[in-house]
Amino acid sequence: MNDRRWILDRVHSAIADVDRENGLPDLSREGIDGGIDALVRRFTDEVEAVSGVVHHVADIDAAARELDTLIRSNQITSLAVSRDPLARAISSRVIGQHEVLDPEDNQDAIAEADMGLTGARLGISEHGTLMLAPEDDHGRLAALLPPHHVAILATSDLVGTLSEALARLGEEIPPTITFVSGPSRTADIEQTLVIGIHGPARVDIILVDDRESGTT
Amino acid sequence: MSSIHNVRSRHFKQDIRSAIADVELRGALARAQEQVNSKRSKAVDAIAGDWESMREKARSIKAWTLEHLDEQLELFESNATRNGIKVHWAKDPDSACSLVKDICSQADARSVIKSKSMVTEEIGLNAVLEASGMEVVESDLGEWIVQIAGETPSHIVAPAIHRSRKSVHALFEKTLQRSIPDDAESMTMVAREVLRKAFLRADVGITGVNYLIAETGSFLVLENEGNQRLTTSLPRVHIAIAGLEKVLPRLADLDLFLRMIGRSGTGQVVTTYQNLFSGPKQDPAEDGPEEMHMVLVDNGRSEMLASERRRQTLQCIRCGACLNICPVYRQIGGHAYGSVYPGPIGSIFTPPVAGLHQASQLPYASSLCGACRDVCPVKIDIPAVLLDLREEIAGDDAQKRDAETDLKVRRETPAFRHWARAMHSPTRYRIAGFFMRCAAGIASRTTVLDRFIPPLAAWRSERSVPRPEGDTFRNRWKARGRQAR
Amino acid sequence: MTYPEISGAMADEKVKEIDAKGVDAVVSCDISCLMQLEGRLKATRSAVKSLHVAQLLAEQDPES
Ligand code: SF4
Repeated sequence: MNDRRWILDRVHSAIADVDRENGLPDLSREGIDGGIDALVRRFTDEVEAVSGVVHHVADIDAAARELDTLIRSNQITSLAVSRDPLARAISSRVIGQHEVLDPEDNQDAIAEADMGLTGARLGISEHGTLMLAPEDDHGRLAALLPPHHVAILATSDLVGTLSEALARLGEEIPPTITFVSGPSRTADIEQTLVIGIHGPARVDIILVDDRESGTT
Repeated sequence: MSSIHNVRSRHFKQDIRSAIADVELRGALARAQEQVNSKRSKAVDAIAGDWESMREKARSIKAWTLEHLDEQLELFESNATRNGIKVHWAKDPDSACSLVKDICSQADARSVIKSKSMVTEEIGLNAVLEASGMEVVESDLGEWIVQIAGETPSHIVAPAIHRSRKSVHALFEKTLQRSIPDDAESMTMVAREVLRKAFLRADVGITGVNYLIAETGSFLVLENEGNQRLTTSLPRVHIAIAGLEKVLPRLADLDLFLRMIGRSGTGQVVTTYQNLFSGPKQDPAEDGPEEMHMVLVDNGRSEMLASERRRQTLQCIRCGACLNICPVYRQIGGHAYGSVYPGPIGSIFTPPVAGLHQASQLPYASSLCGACRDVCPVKIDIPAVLLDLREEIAGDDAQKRDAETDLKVRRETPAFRHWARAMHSPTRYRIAGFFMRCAAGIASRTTVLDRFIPPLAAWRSERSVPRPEGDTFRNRWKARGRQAR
Repeated sequence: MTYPEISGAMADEKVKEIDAKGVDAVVSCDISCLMQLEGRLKATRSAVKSLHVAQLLAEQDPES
């Protein structure tokens, strides 16, 4: 408490009689025009620009087929799935040889999984960003520990910019929000870009138009 | 008292010699600078018309916040506390380190994992924790390289920029006692594997902070690797450490700053992971930290705030662009500055914090070319602050400079006094000009004058002295005027 | 002149680049930059001339 008073007093007297700036600037700016199609297009391009992949599908059956392909082509033997209802619905439609892990499983097991499947609160088109709120779906470790992260995002959860995403939060800010733009990367050895160091080396996003099962 | 851990800027003059002799280092720095600067220009040009107005907005938000810092800090504190974050205040490195040590001891920590944080370098945190028996592991790849090499970072964004791939490879093989392929990718994967184990055994995670958000009591930390997500997900306790100046008033300000910092620092349109923390986990069944602490560090900042000319130093968002553009940094690298904050920002931040006498040479380590001011995303006029520091260092109080600088000041002060007098009248200027030409004429032919004019010898050590040729500009201009009439 | 090693290294890099371009002369309007470059060009025996912008203009000037 001692340091607190000491610091605040000094800060206070340091600026007691300065000429102040005229208020804070207005930061409002244009979003992305062109409706949902434009948002999807921009999102897809920007995710690709940061080495991620977007799979745009009509409904959860089609999403399950994409997930199935990802599991087979990457020879996934264990999949950690968060409690996101959409992710659950999709993964339960995939019948494969792989083991399925739950957030309740211990963290060493999740760390050993080949792939993690989670939901996402929002997608931000401008920079191809996923907004993860791990407490939504208990997906913190599934999105982080395995080398391959697959996120399920509903097309209706796409927004244009970070401003819009923050505005949607309103008063309820979850304890942790992680904005993810592509896979983990480093260039600490001679400025050589290496994808995948501590976080996932691959990020696939399955963008689903319809939260329900298709009629097909 | 404010200080910077292990500052050795008094040895600047010696240290630059070995840096300049290191041809490999200079080659590596030049290549690194060119690469990041071309990425930066591309990223900035992509938002061409907007960049300048974004800089002005960013500057004014930072300036406004500094002018309201007392209120803003208190607002942050009350909101963060409401969110369940324990807020602590530390006036200097001793106080900050012992606070952190106590939190770790209370958590029975044996192992501490860190993600990159400049302020922890500034206060010398690792040494204090290690001395009390804790294992401390740096998890950012660059920081880890520097840690196992027993070095300090040489750049505020790219800590191991001074090391070649070959030298990192040798270091890895020696430290891990096994053979490793020497490509960057394999080496990175080895680091992943080794550090993953350290994450899983850590009891406490320590991070720095990019922005404190007063309005919501949140804070945001940036990274590309994912080590910080791990640092804040696996251990039971998360301690974040921030300099007082890190505050932004509004959550919405992030939209502006996050579009700028990546472009400015690394040429990335956006940093890969932007982690916004607003408290420990709420549901005990969740993963994530049970306890979250925020340590607010002053260490000379409130004093800097009181100086009208130096206050702008605190606008810095630590993007590293000024280091990347600096022609002096390019020649000598980060270590020669002898401070954990090297380059242009280091030359204005280190002296007031470490004490002017500890770092009086740094404000002179600049050609005042202004490139740093032109790239700075928050428009800090670095050359102006350097001049302000020079003014105080060269003033009457010799306690404010080291022996090296004192010698320089004594030699130069009379010369500049004469120069100033000469510049005050055309006649005196003409006379001075005549003597200068004579002196230059002699100096260009022989070295007899060097003994009496030490700066001349310094000049000649690297280049030749120009010989005045033909008539003077003033005479020719006059003659030309007569002809025209 | 405080750190001749640094300014020497800076000039070195510039002079190397100037030499590589195969030009006849470097022109500048800043006298200290010019002295720095000229000093280094001469010291390294480069054939490139250094000119102040006033010198360049004077060379072209029919009246002088
Ligand atoms: S002074 Fe400006 S350019 Fe340098 S690190 Fe700080 S914000 Fe970036």
